[in-house]
Amino acid sequence: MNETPASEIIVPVSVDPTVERTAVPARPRKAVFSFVGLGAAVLAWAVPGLGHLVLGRWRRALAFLVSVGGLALIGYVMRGNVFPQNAADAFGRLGFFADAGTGVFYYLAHFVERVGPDVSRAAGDDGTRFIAAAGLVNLLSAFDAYEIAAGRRR
Amino acid sequence: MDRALGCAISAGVSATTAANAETGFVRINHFAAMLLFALLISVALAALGQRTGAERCRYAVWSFALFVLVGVGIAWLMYPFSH
Repeated sequence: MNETPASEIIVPVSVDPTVERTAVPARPRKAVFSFVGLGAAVLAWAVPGLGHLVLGRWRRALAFLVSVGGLALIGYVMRGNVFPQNAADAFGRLGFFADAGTGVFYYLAHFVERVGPDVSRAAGDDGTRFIAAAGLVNLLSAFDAYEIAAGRRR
Repeated sequence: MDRALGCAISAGVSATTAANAETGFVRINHFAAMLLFALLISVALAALGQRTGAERCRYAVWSFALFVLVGVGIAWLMYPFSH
């Protein structure tokens, strides 16, 4: 018995001759996970702007370096609170994740802010927000670097 | 007792001031801090979202202006509660 395999059966899409058939360009399939993107994201997180610099987006790299570095350093100069890794409560842990988003600037805090934070004044409280905002912006830039390296963004 | 407390506070302020001078602490008022925050966040958001250089510049200026306007507006709304 000679049967045609199911994969070779051709089903006509349109049998109406009046319908004009146009060629639809096939969309290139994007990889679900990109190791190159992961590398770019890690670089972008570790040193703000480095991931974009490696990808040849030097203007974006400069913008992220200036904005993340500026926010973090101003936060340190205002003596904002830098949350430690072993925070006791959930807010402290969230603060640590936000602060650690600044990458290398998290470790620079010990050199810039030698005497520790001072949140008894409004400036110190503002500085805490500056540092957290710097971390969140840098995490966004890491996601952006991943998307560029994976070919989903220009 | 009050005198001792006053001396302690004075010493603390002096120590804080000395420590600030030693570490390069800069006193920034609220408005200057808001301007700096608005400027740096606007630059980052423009770099994230826009395609061309002109679009980025326009977005950064627009975002900065909105940050400042909304910040000053909210400050005026809260002004009666501070007195």
